[in-house]
Amino acid sequence: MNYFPDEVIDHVFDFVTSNRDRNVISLVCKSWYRIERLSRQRVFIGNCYAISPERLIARFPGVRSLTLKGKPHFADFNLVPPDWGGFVYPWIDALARSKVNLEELRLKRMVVTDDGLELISRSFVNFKSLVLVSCEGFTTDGLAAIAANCRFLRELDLQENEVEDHRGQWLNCFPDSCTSLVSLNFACLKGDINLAALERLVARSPYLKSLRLSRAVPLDTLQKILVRAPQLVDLGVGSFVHDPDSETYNKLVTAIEKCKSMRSLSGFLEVSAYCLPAIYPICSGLTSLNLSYAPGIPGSELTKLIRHCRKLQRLWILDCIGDKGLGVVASSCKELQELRVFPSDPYGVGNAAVTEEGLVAISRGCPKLNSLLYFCQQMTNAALKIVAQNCPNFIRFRLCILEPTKPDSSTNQPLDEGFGAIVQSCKGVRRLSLSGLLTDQVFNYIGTFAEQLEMLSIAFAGDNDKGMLYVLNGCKKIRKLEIRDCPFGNIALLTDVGKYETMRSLWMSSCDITLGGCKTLAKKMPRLNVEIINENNEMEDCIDDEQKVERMYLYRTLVGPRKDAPEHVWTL
Amino acid sequence: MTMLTSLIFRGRAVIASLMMSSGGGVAQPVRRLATVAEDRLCKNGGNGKEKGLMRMKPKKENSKEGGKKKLSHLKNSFVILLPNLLMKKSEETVDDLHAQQKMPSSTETADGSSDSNASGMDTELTLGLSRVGSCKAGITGAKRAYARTIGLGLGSGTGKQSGDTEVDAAENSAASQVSSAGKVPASKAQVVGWPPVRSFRQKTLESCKYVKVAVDGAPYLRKVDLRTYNSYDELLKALEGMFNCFTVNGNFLEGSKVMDPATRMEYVPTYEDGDGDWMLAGDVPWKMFAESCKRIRLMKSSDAAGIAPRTPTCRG
Repeated sequence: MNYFPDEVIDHVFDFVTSNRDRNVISLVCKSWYRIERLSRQRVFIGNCYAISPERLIARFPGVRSLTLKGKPHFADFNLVPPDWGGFVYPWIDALARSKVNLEELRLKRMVVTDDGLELISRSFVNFKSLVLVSCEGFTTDGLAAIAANCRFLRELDLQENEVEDHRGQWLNCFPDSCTSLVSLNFACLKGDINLAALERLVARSPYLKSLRLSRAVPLDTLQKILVRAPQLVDLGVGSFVHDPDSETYNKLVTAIEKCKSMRSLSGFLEVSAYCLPAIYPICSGLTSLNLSYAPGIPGSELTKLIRHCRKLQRLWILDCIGDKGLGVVASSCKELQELRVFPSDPYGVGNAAVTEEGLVAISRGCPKLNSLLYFCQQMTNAALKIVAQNCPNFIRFRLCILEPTKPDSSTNQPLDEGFGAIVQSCKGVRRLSLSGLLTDQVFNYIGTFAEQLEMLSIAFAGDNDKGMLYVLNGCKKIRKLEIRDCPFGNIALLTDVGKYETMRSLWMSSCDITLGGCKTLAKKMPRLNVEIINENNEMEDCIDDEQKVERMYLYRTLVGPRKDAPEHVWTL
Repeated sequence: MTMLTSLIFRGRAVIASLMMSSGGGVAQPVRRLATVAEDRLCKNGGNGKEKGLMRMKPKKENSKEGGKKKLSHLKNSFVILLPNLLMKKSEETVDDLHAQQKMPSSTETADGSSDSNASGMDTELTLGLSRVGSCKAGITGAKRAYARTIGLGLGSGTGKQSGDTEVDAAENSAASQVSSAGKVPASKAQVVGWPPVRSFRQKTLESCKYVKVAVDGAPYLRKVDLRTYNSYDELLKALEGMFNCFTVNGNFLEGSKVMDPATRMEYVPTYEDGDGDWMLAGDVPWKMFAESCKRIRLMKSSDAAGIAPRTPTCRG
């Protein structure tokens, strides 16, 4: 390859899109490193504190698309204080000042401000795509700035963000000249929407393929929108309540029938079951259905709907579908690859829930299943063994038994054997979440068999340090390990400190590690940030090494301790 | 006052005299606890020296033993731990709870005073809820104390208002634990961050609670979102509005075609709770009702013999 001019190598590298592959390419030799870095357009940074914006820009001056992730995963469950960090403004500021030609910004679990959004909208002339997932800190005013100033905006995708709604007219801020929208998702907004502005926007967006509405958008507006945009591929319904005998409803039915390209349906943030038949005509083409935010649809209506969806590959649903309903899914959706069953009543007394029966039925009917998130009332080893046998292709297997440390419901044994069967059979499993009663044995299985495992989430499991050590020693590819309420202490933490530099991050909360142990680790490994999250001055009186640490989050970094940590987060 | 609401109040008076004091009465201490806690927090500004209702600071000796568990806290949060005494309804429950309490050593619970909770109103409240699950055999050293953490959102300035909903939810869960003693085992107490459902998703689903409403004699049912109402009055007004057509037409009322308050059919508002029992609406605080209500039935008072009065009185 050294016989070719740089331009040729550059052209060849254009075909290498995976970042992992590009990372490997850049290690071959200096000239390849140089060519690769100048040609890289898409950069993924899994932990925004692992590197600084300045170094990013220095290495990849041609970056057009940046993906950043901020807070640790357990922040989703209120285990991380709101001001912990993950601020995106410094990144936007640095990129703007270096005149990077940013076109796409994808953020997950970061703090975004209106100032930041405004800065984006004014600094990057070719800005095309903003995707915010589980972010917070901004209002609809920031969205107005994006709408008003990004002349070539193609994608505005807001997924599950906490947005303060100023009930302004942000939709109005899209200028009449804006006709480039391909994807618009504002389902997570809580406030009112200017419906007329929305209709006009859809009318002038001929390239619109994906539209996800908020609850404030009623059925009659939906009907008008669908008439204008029958080319939609992905639709998120807002409110779906109307008198099924009305003219509006009939018009909706007609409009939906014309949406021949529809492949993905979600939302139904407010829904009457008797309106659901309107969507039956498009069900046969659907590959993705997300009803996990649709409250109050009885299991019988869900199954009626799903029977029509024979091409479904992805299904997100609430557990009120029940085991029987999952049986219907199993018999109707033979192409199913991803299933997520969420609890409709997380703290309830188990009225509407699914059990191991539903999962076994799915495994029997859907052999292509490779991704699972399953919140259930109970589980058995026998069921897990059957599932492991029927579905050897799992990449993601996340099981959450609602009651912590619940044993096998038929034998009262720990669920070690069941999960052991899963990792043994599913050789490609990359992500695993455990629950129920578990001893160190399950970690032995994981360490031995889960060779491709990259992310592991553990809660209320294990007997002693051996458990954690099985994982650290055995899982060569592990990148993210998050542990809560397990009896793992300093021995487990300190046995192989070098391991953590091969990982992105480690989270441990309510375990047995002490401040002294964390300090030792921090001292030995300068290229790790070892953060102790210490709220309400839990540790103010006794800053003593024997004290147990309530929450520790460590991650590898090339830029040392961060400077934006709040007072109660200490970097050792 | 509308007919329906007057019936509720009437019914409530009748019921109160029939009912044991346990149901309604016990709810009171729980709410008072929350208020006491708030007072303490406001007075002390959460300076960390506060004992009892503030976070449990492990004492030095306990931390050396290594047995004590710390609790996760949200900023400005405190731990409300329910006194087990409130569950003394049935012996069975108490025994279960005591058994669970005794299994972890006393150092495992958040605060040493788990056993002697007889006073209940002690400032050092403990939940003393031990690890759940029927099978403890084979688990060594893996004991945890669960506690409910409530964020009051005092001074925590994110736009989440999580404090409010969580305090209410805490009251509800506390109250509902109390009122359904013997039915809800202590193991259902909530752990911070469990089950692992994204808080956005939890909040979104929490904010809708549609229940079916049946009116005796009506040809079809309706659904109402309990979350959009803040009191029984509001709900009943809305229901009246929804089912007005029946009274106006008179078609669905036996023998009554006139919308005359004096002869309008009487309805007793009843609901099915989480345990499947049919209850008279109006006894418990609104929030508790909204949490536990699964469906509503406006029962003809002639069917509700002995519970509700037969003759209406019109109040203005």
